[in-house]
Amino acid sequence: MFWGCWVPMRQPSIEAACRNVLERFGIGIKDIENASCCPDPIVTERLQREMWLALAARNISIAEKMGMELATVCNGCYETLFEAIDALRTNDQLRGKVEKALGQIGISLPTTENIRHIVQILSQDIGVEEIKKLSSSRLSKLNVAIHPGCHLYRAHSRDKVLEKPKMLEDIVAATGAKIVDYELQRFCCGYQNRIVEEEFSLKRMLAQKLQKIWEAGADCIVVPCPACNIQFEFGQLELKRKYKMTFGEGIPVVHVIEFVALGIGIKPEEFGLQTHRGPTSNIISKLV
Amino acid sequence: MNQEKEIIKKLSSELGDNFLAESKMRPNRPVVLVKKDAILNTIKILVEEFGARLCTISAVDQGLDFELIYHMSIKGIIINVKISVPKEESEVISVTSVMPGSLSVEREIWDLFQIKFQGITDSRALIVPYEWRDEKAPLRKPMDGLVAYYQKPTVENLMEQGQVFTMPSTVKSNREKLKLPEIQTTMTKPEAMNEIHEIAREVAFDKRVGYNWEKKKLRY
Repeated sequence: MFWGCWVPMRQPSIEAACRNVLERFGIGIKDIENASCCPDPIVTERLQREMWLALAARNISIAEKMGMELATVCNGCYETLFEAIDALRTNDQLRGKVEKALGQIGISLPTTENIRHIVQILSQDIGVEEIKKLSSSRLSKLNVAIHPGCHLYRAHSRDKVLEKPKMLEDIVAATGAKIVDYELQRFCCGYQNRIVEEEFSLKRMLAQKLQKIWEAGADCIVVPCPACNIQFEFGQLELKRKYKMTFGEGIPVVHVIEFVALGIGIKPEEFGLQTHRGPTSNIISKLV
Repeated sequence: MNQEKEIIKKLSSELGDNFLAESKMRPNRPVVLVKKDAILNTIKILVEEFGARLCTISAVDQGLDFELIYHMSIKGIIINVKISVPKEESEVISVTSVMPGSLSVEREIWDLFQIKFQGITDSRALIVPYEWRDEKAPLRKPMDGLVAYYQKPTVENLMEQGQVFTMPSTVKSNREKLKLPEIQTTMTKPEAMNEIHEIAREVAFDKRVGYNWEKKKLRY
């Protein structure tokens, strides 16, 4: 499992939930050793594509050498590794430079063409029926707004663009929770704009989404990306503090793997749900 | 062998490792890049062995470094000798000992960019008020590189730990409470971090972003 930077260093509850859930379903995880940042598709890729691709290729090569399939719980890491595999396949000039750079440290180019997101593991390897079986009706009183995030739509062909977001919906539905339609599902949360212009990111992007989610009557938001999670969670605190904008007591946000953990009966304290900054107790109070 | 090739070959063999690169703007307009400290020797070779004369010296503020280009004329060929001067140093050896006619242009560059020419025969201000000499330089820009100020922590963390975040103590404590395994990434493995550094040097990422290896920070 490629954990990236966000999850182990900012949101370890996602890592704990993932380990617990996959263990419950009998799927083994091995951590990739010596990995670096994916690296991030916002800063590093824009500064120099050679460095970005070399680090990504190195991470993929390390996983390949372990003889295991590469998976991630983060949309950003998924985007980077997906694009990196694509660039290595299609861009001869860039591949040559990266091959030379990796050759200096005794690593060869990866050959894998596959990177998987946790929603694919949950949907394809475990299956929604298995999730349904273990979920009973614990989350049946919850109304959930789903935010797929931008990079979950990444696909090799047009006809598969909606595949992973659909998997996310099916997984949430399998837990027994009700999914609410709030019209702006595909709208970006605004995370990457935050570092450039915070007010625009919060007021023009995040607040619009939150308003619609609030009006639709959602009890919580489920995301497949830790960066979106932070944007929703901390963003609500900043909207309240800086712009006096509130949405009730706040709308709790959880990662899909945390939501599944709750659904199949793993206790919140076992994966550290309480470490979230948002009012996750509002989710717990509605558990059946 | 035509004269252009002869000049490049002579410079390359005499300067050795100080000769960094060559290119061409167009016919009879070769460009050579040499190390800063080799500029006097380079000009000396061009003057004494090929009878070169100085047309002028151009100076460009590139944000982190200055680029000085010595335009030397040799029988219809204009050979452009480039050096890079780090802004933190802002010093280069004067070529007036070999080419006295460079005095006025070196004084002018000193006035406009605050680049000091060591060994210059006359260091007085030429085109700016005397009081400006150590205080104001009209064409000198602040140190500035490619990385925006809000991106600096990301880049510096990447170069220092191979991750874009550091781990706060609260997260460390939470990980211990949740009995999560210790992180085994470049953050905790120096040999893995060395690989990242080698990659950064090989693809010249350090130069692109202006990373200071000694201070472990960006230069700006």
